[in-house]
Amino acid sequence: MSLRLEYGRVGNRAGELLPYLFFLATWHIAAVAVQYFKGAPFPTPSATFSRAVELLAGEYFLHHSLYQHLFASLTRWAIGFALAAAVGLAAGIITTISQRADRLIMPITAFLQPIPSLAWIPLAVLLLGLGNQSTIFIIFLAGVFPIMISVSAGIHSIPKGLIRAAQMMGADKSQIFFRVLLPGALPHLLTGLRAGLANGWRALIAAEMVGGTDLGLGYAIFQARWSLDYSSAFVAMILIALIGLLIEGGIFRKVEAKTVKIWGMSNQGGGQC
Amino acid sequence: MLTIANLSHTYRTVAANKCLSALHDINLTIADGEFVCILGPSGSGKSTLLDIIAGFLSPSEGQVRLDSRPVTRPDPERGVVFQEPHLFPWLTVQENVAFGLICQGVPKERSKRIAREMLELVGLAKFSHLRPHELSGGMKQRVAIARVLACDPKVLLLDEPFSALDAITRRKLQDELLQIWYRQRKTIIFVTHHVEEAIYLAERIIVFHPHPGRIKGEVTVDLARPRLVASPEFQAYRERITQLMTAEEGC
Ligand SMILES: Nc1ncnc2c1ncn2[C@@H]1O[C@H](COP(=O)(O)OP(=O)(O)O)[C@@H](O)[C@H]1O
Ligand SMILES: [Mg+2]
Repeated sequence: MSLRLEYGRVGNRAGELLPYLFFLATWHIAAVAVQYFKGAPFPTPSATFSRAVELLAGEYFLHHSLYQHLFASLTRWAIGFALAAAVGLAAGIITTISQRADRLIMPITAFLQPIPSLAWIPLAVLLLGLGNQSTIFIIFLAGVFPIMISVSAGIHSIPKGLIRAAQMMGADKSQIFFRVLLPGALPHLLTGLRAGLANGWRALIAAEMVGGTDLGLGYAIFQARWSLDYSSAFVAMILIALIGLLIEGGIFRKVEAKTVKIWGMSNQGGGQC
Repeated sequence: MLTIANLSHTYRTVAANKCLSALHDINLTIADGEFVCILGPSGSGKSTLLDIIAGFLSPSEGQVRLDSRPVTRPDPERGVVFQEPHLFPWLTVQENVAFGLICQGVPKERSKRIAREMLELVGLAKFSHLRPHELSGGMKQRVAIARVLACDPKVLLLDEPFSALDAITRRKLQDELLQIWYRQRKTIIFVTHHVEEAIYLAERIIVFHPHPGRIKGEVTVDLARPRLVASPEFQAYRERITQLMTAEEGC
């Protein structure tokens, strides 16, 4: 108990750092142990850090700078995600408007959605060839289903009373759509977009490993096994984690703070108002 | 004038493929400016009737007419206050009240002004920039009333609007509603299952009976206002209506 009190008194700053320090310590011990017992070039945190400094300074690895790898990955991700969002939103909205479309699209979605997006790689390569296009296609597939399902679920979650309220105040169909259905679906939609983005990011890295590109963070990590440049691979992995945190904290948290949080709508579903 | 003629409604439940007669042969005429309570136990088709008058539901048989025009769909001339507030969580109190005006194409500044007036009327002017989730239940229902009044309806339809509120808040809102009625003389159709609430509010009480929902009788309440619940006259009405509601019927 006194320990808890101590911990509390040290303050939040130090408290937040503790898990990272613990992580670095564990990593260091593991690295030294692996190097000692297996003789493998497992990079320590400090080795990774100095490699990161070199790479950030612009040093090439695998014929490109870290920035070029990063930029290639981000571009693919953005394009794939944008396509997934556009198609997912449109398809999700159509299913809520037309019963027939719902009966057509939803069973197909239910069937295709459980297939891990990476399982599509052979098909993607067959259809689109090796390289950028098939990678983008994989990212698209990783994102499109969660986005579509979340739009549909979000719109269905809106209490009938809200729609009736809009109707009796004279709202027409398009006003109901833009002023009631879309904002009402936002909590679900944010969850879907978040899942689509995260799935896409994960799929991207994996697709780059096998998709026949010669540029990108995933490619770089995978190639490190030939060059034994594990510290570069670690730098790329940390970069991937940071990008994920940035998107989560920098975009989604902020959007949520400005919308569903203020509205008192939980992220899990339509608010009761 | 609102006329309900030979109105029946049957729900078809999709799952069981069964029919449920919710309303049977309702005939009712309500004059302009009248305050009518629809009183009946749950399941007597009160909400179904109100939904039909609101235009949310088209009846299986019969018709509702307002000023001799048949009701076919929801319209701001028939404002509805639901049992739950059903406010838009993403809009502020003032935006909620202005919603109808904005949808009907009233210019922004004018909508804002009217919304503020309506909030003044229900005593919520100070809270216009809050979101619905920051309000108490009674305040939410006040907003729900204000947003309907903003559309200046001919008829106000209220479906057990105060049933989720505590007794003190409920009485307060009943009085406020009466004040609004005195001032604006809108036709009010107020659904409730509370005998006391009906006697306290209505000029005329239509008593409903369940399975299928139908009119059991009607009582004109001839009491001076403000009505005193404890008065012997009030109690007499209570007796009479309770008897009417519980009386067995051979059918
Ligand atoms: N959407 C519906 N589908 C099927 N049956 C319904 C539906 N709404 C109401 N009912 C039935 O119709 C009858 C009348 O319901 P309702 O109008 O809600 O009564 P009240 O408002 O007086 O409680 C009830 O038996 C109820 O179960
Ligand atoms: Mg009801």
